[in-house]
Amino acid sequence: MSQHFKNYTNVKIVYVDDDVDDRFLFTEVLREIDPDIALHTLTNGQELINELDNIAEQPTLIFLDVNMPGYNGFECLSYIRGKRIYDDINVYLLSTSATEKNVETAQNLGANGYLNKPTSYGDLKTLICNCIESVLST
Amino acid sequence: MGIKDIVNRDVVNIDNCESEPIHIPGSIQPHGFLLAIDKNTHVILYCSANVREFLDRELKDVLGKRFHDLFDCEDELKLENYAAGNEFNDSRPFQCHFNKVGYDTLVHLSGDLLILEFEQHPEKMPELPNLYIQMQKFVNELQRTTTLKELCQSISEEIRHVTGYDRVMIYRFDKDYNGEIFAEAKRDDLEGFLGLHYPHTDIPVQARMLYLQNPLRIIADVDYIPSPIYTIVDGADNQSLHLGNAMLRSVSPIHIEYLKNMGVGATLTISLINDGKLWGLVACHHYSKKELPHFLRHTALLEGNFLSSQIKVREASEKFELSKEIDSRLQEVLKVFNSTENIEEYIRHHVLSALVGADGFAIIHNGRLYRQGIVPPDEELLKLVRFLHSYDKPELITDNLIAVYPNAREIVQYAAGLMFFSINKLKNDCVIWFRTEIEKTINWAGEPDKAIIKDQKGLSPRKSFAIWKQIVKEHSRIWDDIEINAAIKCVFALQKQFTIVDARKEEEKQRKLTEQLQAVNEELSNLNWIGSHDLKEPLRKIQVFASRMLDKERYSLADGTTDLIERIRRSAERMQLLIDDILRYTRLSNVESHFSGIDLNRLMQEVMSDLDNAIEEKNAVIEIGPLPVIKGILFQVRQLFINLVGNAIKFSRPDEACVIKINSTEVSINGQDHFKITVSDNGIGFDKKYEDAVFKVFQRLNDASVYQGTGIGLAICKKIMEIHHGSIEAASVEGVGAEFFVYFPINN
Repeated sequence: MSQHFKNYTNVKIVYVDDDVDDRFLFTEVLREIDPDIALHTLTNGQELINELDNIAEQPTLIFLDVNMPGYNGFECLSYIRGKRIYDDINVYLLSTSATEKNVETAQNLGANGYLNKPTSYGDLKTLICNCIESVLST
Repeated sequence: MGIKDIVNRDVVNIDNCESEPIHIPGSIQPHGFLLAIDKNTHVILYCSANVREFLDRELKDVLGKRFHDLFDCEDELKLENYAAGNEFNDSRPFQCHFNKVGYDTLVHLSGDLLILEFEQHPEKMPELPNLYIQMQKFVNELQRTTTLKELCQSISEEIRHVTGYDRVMIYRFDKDYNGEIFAEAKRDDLEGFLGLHYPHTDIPVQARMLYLQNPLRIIADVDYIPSPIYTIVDGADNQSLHLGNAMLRSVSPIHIEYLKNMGVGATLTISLINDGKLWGLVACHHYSKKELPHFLRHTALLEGNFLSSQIKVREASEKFELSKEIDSRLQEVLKVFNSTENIEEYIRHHVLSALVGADGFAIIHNGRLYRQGIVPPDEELLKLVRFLHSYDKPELITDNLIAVYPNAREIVQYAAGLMFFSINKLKNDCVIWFRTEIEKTINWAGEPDKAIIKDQKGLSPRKSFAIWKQIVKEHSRIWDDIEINAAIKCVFALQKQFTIVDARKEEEKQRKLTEQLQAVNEELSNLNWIGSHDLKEPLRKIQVFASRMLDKERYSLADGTTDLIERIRRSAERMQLLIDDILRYTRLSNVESHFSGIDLNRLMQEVMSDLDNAIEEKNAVIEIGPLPVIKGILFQVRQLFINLVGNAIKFSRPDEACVIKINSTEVSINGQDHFKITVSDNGIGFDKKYEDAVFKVFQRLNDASVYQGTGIGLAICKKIMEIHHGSIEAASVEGVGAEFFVYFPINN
């Protein structure tokens, strides 16, 4: 677990998911990775759009659940990629099942990645870590 | 010189009734006299006994004499002229005189003999109908009357008017010469016979022959005493005289008795001939004796000839009328067919049995019986239909069902005759028209007694007309060609109708099936959705939380609890695999994928790397021979080999190094070339009896705790091969290894 020793202080993450359990797990995993990482959890796409337009500081990373009521993950992604000011934000989509079609759609819409929600706690942690790492390394 | 009579004394009895020699009776009716003379010498060789009365001469003064010994030389000259001119013409008799009495003499040749029949010229010439007027009257009748029956009626009246007989009847024969009184003119006080029927035995075949030969026949007095014919006994064999063409010829005693039984005193009979066959007779009856002068006879004969000439024309035109009528009925039937597909409706319209003049009608369609009118009871009908279907031909048209179907006796009151048309032998489908017995529909005369009574006197003619009834018993009216044709057309239309109805039903069934299938498909894709999200979400949560507990709380949990949580996690994981596999299986055929060339050598390398962990774990050795490039859907073919090779690794024997071989050959199946790819292993194998079963969904042969898996893997393989128009087979020896063969069609 080398992540502890890295400097993630400037990383700001927004996690959007209507599922309370997933928000809980994500929050916990992220705290384990680095408690200093700024995390903002939201429950739906509308909230995200409102939030993005109102906050001064843009997030480094946004994790979007695909299946959400109202705006779904793809629609949120479209919104973000439709505005040049958000070009620097890395967006990952998360879903229970990664069908080829969904992965392709995500790519076409400009997602940085399409992730399968892992079935073990350890895998989730590794997955999030890798995402942060890859963002920081670019 | 001896003299003797040549009267035929053969006893007529019931056995020779049909062969009674009525043309050589050896005697004549006594209202005229007969001489037979040598045609060259004019020597009188035969004469009737009644010359005594007519000529006032003894037989010995007649026989052996020459014609001119009795008559004037002038008359002989006339006779010679008459004979030489071959004017043996019934309509112009030879006329001569004896003792100032004039005679109308019929002359005809019989061998070397001239037969002369003398009848007295009536003292007062009756008023002869002018031929021109008669002709004109007849033409008028032709135009006035529309049917043959009407024409017959008018001719019978005309003949009665001219001849003065008490009753003039026109008989019509059927094909078997059973007679029907078709027209009748009679004295008002007499009982009518119109419409009555008589059996063919009334007019035996030899009588019919004579009727064809002599179109006119007269019996002047049934109570006459025959005048025997005498000849000279000179050793020559002149024993019988052929009188077949003689007008005075004596009548068969049977016939005389027949007439007497009816109270008839005198008759005149005129043949009605159509196409060289005896079509019928004009039978004139008088209830006392009656002679008819020659010219009046010929007036009547002329009427008969007129009628004969019209029979064919009228019958043809009546057939035409009938066919027009039936055709219009057929149009009506077809209209009903067009208006509805409901067979009940056809039955309700009554047009179907009316079409061919049937008494009843039945259809069997798709195992259902529809009936109308007089039809045998259902059970009997079905028996009959089974019989008819087992019959050689697809149709049967008969007016005498019993002759074909022995059980018909029980249903004769419904089905004496029928027209049967098979539509579908397998389904028993058919159409049948029924006719009842003819005697039910036609009048018949007399009591059903025995017709011919044999008494001491020998043969006596029947006293009733019941024979006819016996003859037509169990028969229906004959099906006319026109009716049969109409029936065939109707059946044809019905068959077409049924085909359309069946096709429509089939279409409807297909449509419903398709709808159901669509619904099921929709349901299935819903299932996909549920499976892919709603089911998997909670499963994933169980797994994640279980793993979180194991990760983070491991040391604070009691030992037993850790194990239990691990079990929960494993069960959830297994459930997850199941759902994934089911989804994969159901999605296979939904996916629209394109076939492309797949190099199996390359693909196999990818499969190896996918299975890297498993291969390493089991230390498996995989030998891959040269493989072809096939046409397929990449991800499916990949899945196929992952499953096959994965299984081979999974089911390896712990005590044996796992060796898997993958090879390809080319084979031909049903003329189609295939690549046959074999994946064989030296694992645990399975019993031969499971070679087919292994491809079924959820078919597991092994303990799930030892050999993990969902039991869907091979079912997926099978489905993939179906999608690729190929096939998959398994062969195994338990404990030795298993072989799987997949066949990909070449050039497909």
